[in-house]
Amino acid sequence: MFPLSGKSARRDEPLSARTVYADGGTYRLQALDYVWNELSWRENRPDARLQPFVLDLGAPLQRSLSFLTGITSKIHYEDLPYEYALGGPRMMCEAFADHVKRLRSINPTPVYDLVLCWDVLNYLPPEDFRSFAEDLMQVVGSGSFMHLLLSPIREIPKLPGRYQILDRTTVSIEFDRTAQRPSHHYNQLHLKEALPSARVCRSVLLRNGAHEHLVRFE
Amino acid sequence: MWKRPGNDREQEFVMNQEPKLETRTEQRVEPAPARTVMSKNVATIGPSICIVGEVTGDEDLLIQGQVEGRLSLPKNKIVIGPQGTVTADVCARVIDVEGAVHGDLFGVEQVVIHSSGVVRGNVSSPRVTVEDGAKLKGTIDMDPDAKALPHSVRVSDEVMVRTVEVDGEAVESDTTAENGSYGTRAM
Repeated sequence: MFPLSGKSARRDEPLSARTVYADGGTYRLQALDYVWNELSWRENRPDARLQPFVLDLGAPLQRSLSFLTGITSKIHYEDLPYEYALGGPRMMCEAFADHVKRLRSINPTPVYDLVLCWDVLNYLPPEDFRSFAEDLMQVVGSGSFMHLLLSPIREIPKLPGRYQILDRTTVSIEFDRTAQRPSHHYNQLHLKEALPSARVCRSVLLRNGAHEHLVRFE
Repeated sequence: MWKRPGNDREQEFVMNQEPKLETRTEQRVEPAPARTVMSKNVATIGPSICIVGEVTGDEDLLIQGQVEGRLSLPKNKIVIGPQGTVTADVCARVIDVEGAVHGDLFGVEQVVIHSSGVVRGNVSSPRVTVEDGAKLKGTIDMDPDAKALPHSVRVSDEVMVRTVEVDGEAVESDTTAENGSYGTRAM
């Protein structure tokens, strides 16, 4: 299980916003490489209608877009951090629920092959996390992936960070450290409970203390 | 279980690396010059103008005011200026967004959303550029097959407005918005 004892894996010092959320930095995420390979294989299938469809819950950034367009030509941006900045977790969940409702009204079958969920769940209180997970389950199907980054610490930056894909395994993060707010903790068991059809196929504790999860929906 | 960090070559968190992002550069960023490169034959909707309805034509268009309805200039360029507010589906050869758009964008050649742009709607074009700082909620579809479709087919024939009910509320929906993110609107 996860070392949620409050000690970092690298140093014998308490996990804190300072150790986990330094002044930005670069994550090397090996699980992503597996996802890209999988999606590239799907992209090359003869039936063009089956091309991968990526849902990025973060903000659209040019470099990420350039990378993702090398994988697929269909990307949906929800920009939940922007919604959070406007109205907090409630507005963030309502915006996503609204999107799912519209999506389902036209396309009842699951559509997304990959969901990038970076720095979002820590900002959701448990009741909103459950509703978010229920909505998410409606738009992912068998074989879909979700890639998550979760923080185990008690305090997080006031607003979600801006993640940018640099290459197949490298993601950079920028965030504002001027203010902190309490974090909501979710681990592998919480994911399994909230997403019953999901199987956590890879979990990695990054050296900065954050958790990387790759979830596959059955 | 977890490897000792010192032996773990797979995962690495590098703090204070050399800046790799354009957005992190310490060079002073001057205000962007006017990026609007238009042909001489340009129509302008000024800041105090509000248009409700369908706009068509055969010349480039700069929007600094408000437009509600539909914009269709498939052979020309549309620039939605910083003061422009568009609540409409927009079709043009090139679409530059520096203001706000609530509707779908169909770019025959290219769609550019500048850092000051705010788009709530789907973007369909073979080339899409989103500057850092731009706000976008919607689907980007850069399917190369899409550009082969003439505009008249994509917009005039394929968009079949149908009425569906969502939780008892009647909404319009167009069939081109496969994902449906913003392909519906309350009636």
